[in-house]
Formats: sequence, C-alpha cells, structure tokens
Amino acid sequence: MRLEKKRVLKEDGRYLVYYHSAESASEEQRKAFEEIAAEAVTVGANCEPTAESAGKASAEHV
Amino acid sequence: MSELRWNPTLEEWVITATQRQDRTFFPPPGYNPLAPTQLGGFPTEIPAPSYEIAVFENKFPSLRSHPLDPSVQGTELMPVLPAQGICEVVCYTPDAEGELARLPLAKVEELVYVWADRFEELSTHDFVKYVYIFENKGKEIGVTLMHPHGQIYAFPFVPPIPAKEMGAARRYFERTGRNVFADILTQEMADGRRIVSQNAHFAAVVPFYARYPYEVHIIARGERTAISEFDAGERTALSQILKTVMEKYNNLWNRSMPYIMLMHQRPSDGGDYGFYRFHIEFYPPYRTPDKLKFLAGSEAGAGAFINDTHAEATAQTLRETPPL
Repeated sequence: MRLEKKRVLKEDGRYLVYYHSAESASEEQRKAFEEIAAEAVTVGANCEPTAESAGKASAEHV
Repeated sequence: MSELRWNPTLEEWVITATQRQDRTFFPPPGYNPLAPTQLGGFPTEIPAPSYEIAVFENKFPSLRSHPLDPSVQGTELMPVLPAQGICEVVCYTPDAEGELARLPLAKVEELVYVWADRFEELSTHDFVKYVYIFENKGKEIGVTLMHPHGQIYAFPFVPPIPAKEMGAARRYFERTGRNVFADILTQEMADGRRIVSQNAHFAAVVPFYARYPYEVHIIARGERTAISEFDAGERTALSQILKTVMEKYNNLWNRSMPYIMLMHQRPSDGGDYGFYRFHIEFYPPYRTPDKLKFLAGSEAGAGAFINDTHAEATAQTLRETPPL
C-alpha cells in the first residue's frame, strides 16, 4: 500500500496531516489532496516512492 | 488549565484539563467540525472539500507539546508537572454517517498505515514516552461528537494499565523465559472455545479473564511489540481481523455496537520489549441488547471486575455471528 501525506499548519498553530492513497481515493478526494498547499509532501509508511513522487520525497521518508 | 498531578497513594499521574469542559458537545448538523469544509459553509477543522484520512491536533487537548504552566503549586508529596504531550484526532472518513466497521477493507488498511505512521512520528519527541491509540464509539461511552473518529494520546509517561501489563509480562518472562501473550495464544488456539476469529497473523479471542461480556482482544501471533513493526502482509491481516470483529459486533444485535477500542503496545523509547506483545482490546459496554455493564463500586473503587457471563459462551455467540 502506498500513502502520501501533506502537513499543514492551522491559523492557531495546530498541525493537520492529510493522508492520501492514490489506489483507493475517489476523484474528488484525489483532487482535494492535490490542491492542498503544504509545507512538505512525504511518502507514508512502508511504501516505495513512485516514479513521480521520488523527486518530491524528502529525507523524512519512512 | 491543564497539568499533571501526582497521586502518591496509587503512584500515578492524574491529568487535569479544565479547558475541556467547554469542548464541542453534539453539534447540530451543518456544524460538524470533522466534516470537510464546503464552499460558503461552516469552517471545520478540515479546510478541504474532501479528504480520506485526516489527523490534527485536538482543539481541546488534555496534553500539549508546549504546555501552559500548572495552575497550582505542587509539593514534595504531591508534585505537579506541566501537561506536556500531544493529543490527536484521527478522522476515519469524510462521511459523518459512516463508521469504521462499514468502511471498505482498503480504507481500514489505510488506517492501519496511518496509525503506524503516527506512532513513529509521535515517538520521535523526547517528551513522549507512550503513544496510545484508541477509539471511543457511541453515546454510551460518552462520545460527544458522532463523526467517525479515533484519538491518539502521546503521553509523557507510560500510563498505569499498559505499565502494569508490561510489568506482569516482564516478570513472567523472567520466571519462565517465555512470552505470556504467546503462551496465552498457544493455550487459546489449542482450546478453541474462546476464539472469535483468526488469520495467519492475528487471533481475536474473548479472553479467559474477560471483564466485559463481549470483550475481545486481537493479539499478534508474531513477535511484534508495536504497530510500526508489522510488514505489509501483517497490516493487511490486521485490517481484515479488525473489520471482522467490528462487523460481528454490529451484526450481534443488528445495530451499531458502541465500544472502546484501544491499542496496547511498547513504549516509544525504542527499547527491547520482547517479553511483551502488541494487541488491541475492545470493551463493548452492553451485556445484553438492552442492559449496560456499568463500572460500579467493585470495578471503579476496587478494580475488581465482575463479569455476568462466561467468556466461552460469548465467544461462541460472536464466532457464530456473521461474518463467519
């Protein structure tokens, strides 16, 4: 299973993490995830970088 | 105000969190803080038109990474510490009417991955000693926000119950050289009467020592002490058995079953806890379709649970309840 996550900061300083699975997301969910402006895009736990995400994967890759 | 107050009579911390008195309480439809934010609508915790799984810091936390100073002065007998830690809310689905049991298996499996990722990330904080993943489901448990969600408390100490379990498991290992959970599993698999479901990597049992009539424990069959240690096959197996147990609960009396679901795993210090074993516990409060099991004098005051049923009987009922 491959998951991506995007972490954002709310106005009050709390963090919010969105998790996304390209395999099972609906079109609406995929679009919503793509449109999130985030501090970092990382590849989630126990998955291998895809060809397109490899360039975006940070040192935080688990 | 929020702080840790030490109870010297039980040698445990109590967390005070007076700011939680005003937390969201059964919001009306249209004001659900866990729903996606719609254009022109009420601004929820999740400012996106949709999401899959979202995790955010609780707006009304019991613990904070940057805690306020305690509101009282402690003493040498009863010290006080800032309530440092992290409290997260895990939104399982954007569907306010949904529940974990009715999500597709792939979504439950995604949640297992999310839990593992949260465990790993929260464990990196120096001030976190124990990552506790749980779900309160149903009004009977005290839930005030019905949108399907769970929580994660990253405690600055190992909480009493997991600590007690680990102490018992360590002493058993020192005495016998064996893992108590492995021995329990061996005995349960040989006996069979308390098995609810099983697969290659997990067994779901009503424990011999169950305190709630329909209490179920899902125990890892492999030597695993934290959710982050499971490989892909084990994560799939965990999601399958979780969904099976939750569906059995809902099919038992043909209605959504309230419960507390919690994970017991090793502390977050990365130490060797080979004497221990990852497991999930379910505490459904109903003992019959219309009777609750209350935690009254014996349970709440003496810690001595009284179960009105035998584990063998309730396990058989659950085993025979679909999905088979």
